Amino acid sequence: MSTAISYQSIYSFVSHQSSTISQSSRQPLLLPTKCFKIDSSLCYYTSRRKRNLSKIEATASQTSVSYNTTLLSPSKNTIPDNSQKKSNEAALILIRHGESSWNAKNLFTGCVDVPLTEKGVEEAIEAGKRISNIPIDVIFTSSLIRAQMTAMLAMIQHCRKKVPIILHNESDKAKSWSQVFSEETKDQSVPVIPAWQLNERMYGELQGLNRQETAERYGNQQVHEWRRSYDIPLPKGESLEMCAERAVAYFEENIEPKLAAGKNVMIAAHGNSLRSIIMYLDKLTCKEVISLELSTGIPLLYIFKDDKFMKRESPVGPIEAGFYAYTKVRHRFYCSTIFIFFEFSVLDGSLCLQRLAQYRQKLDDESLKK
Amino acid sequence: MATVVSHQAITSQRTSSNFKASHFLKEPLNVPIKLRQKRFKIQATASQAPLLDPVLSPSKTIPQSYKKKSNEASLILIRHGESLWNEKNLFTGCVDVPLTEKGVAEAIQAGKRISNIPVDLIFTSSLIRAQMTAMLAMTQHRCKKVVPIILHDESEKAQTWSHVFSEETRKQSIPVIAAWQLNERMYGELQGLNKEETAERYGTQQVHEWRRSYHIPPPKGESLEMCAERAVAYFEDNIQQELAFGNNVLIAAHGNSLRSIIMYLDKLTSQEVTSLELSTGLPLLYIFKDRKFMRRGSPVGPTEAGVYAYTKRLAQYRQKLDESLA
Repeated sequence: MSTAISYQSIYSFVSHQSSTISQSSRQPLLLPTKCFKIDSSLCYYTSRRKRNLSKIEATASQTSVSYNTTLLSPSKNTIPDNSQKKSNEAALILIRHGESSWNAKNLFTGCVDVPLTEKGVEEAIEAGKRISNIPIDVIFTSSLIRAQMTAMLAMIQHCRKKVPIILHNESDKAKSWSQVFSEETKDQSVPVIPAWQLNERMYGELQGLNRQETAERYGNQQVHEWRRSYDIPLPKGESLEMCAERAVAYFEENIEPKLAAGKNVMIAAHGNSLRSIIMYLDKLTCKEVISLELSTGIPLLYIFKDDKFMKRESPVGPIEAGFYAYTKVRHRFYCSTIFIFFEFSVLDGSLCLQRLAQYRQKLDDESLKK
Repeated sequence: MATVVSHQAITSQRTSSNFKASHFLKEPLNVPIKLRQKRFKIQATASQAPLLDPVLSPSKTIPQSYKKKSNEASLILIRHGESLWNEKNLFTGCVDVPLTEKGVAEAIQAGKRISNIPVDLIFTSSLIRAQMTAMLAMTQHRCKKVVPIILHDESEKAQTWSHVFSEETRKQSIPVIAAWQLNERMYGELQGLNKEETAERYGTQQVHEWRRSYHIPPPKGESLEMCAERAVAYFEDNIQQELAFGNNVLIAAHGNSLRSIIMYLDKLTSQEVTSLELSTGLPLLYIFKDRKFMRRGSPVGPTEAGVYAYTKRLAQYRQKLDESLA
């Protein structure tokens, strides 16, 4: 997969170049304004030929989050119109919940519904700050409190101030009791849909055991095998494959149509359900997904456009968070790194994330008015 | 109790908390599943074992007259803090909106106040703002050994999937039971409406009547009486027996469901309850002893000696915590 390979090379580039680049100039450069006007107060980055990858340090403006924008392959030459754009692209944010009480105790959690620790709460709030300027129209979570709390705590930070409302469909009564009777209020709401299909992988007989007990009960080799395998289920539990099956199926049937309709989506879920989805988005192999580690509480951004998912790494967040992320480069693919990768083209006619940039502009204007 | 006349509003399903927790424990305990009868009140009988019995080992079966864990138990009531619709001045009712930053801070503060009071069992409503309040409060609890776990019984699958396979871990868990009967009063057609708009639409007096009357429901909604009926019934059938056994209980819920319960605990009249206002995020402590509820006000906080002077048992618990954390 070309992007996977390029991430690899970029990572090694990052680790060598990072120290020199960090202090480099942070001037935002304006894109060639061939087809449309760009507001100079927005942060845009240089463009090159399509498919060249370039590493640009993300800058954070004084007042708001800045993140990369990308340009698509040359398509339309018309001035992009917001209403048209709405149906063309959508943002997808993935957040893995932070530390839970059993993480802290080193117990296999799986689908046992344990809450976040104080640290997990802070991670959720921090994640919220990073995505505070990215539009969100609908939220999907698992049916477990640690993911739901992560989503709700993150949304407290959101600039738009729309109110998340958890939908209840467990019974007719639950549905009718949670009905909202004001259209205006509904417009100011972000529906939150809990789905068991986004739950953590079910860990079967390991749920509640600590790692030591597990090694004693089943043997080190067996445990090692489970960790390395894609399709071997845990006793009375799921394999990663089984988890991926139900998570991806749910994503395809329920989430992708929303993105296709132009709705911006946030998914707050768990390590295994999210990497299953990422496997689908990035077309990873089984081997690749097994070695994929997602940082907790660091949101990942994808742009969905023309039936394609383009990974945009983690929104940087306020300046401090950017530096904090810089020091945590750990993994091959999903590092909490200050550098953001993107594709761009100098000949393009449209700006892939222009809509997001305009949204951010609107938020800035609104906050100035206050 | 004059105000709780019948259980007709209550479903005839099995008592949810017994069912959930007995499955959660998965020990060979003979926890009888109480069947509900539609038309009249059911008292918790001595032959029914409560859902938590840490005293008994798995090999023993529950005797007919169960052995009590303790003669007294604490009951903590916490009303959740500010929600996003409180902030916007919208009627919330049973719409599931989360807490604001302030509401989160209130929950944490409440947690600090109860950090020295034992909690064996938690009941919440099915709404996220109450659940979050409970979970955030418990992050502050000084007894770090035990972890709250939300029980799931919405389906067979949910039960199986959330099963805990280590007995030691189960023993160090506090079951959390979510019950719709503890939900906020259902506000019907007012849900989502701005309080000012509603006053304009229906008239200030009508709105005042709905909010403050005991019997009159808002359109398509519940009266305080209806809310009290289902909340108190749930309390009597599921929570009181736990307290009677000696389990310490925390209830995180809402203004109307909690004052309904307080009406039952303090034997208030319907007039008294309509003027009862509960502070948000301020826990209320009751001691249940000899089948009586004694109100102990709001625990002041971990630094104040007063909080462990409530009863000798609480003082001893506090001492044990100090020793274990020293």
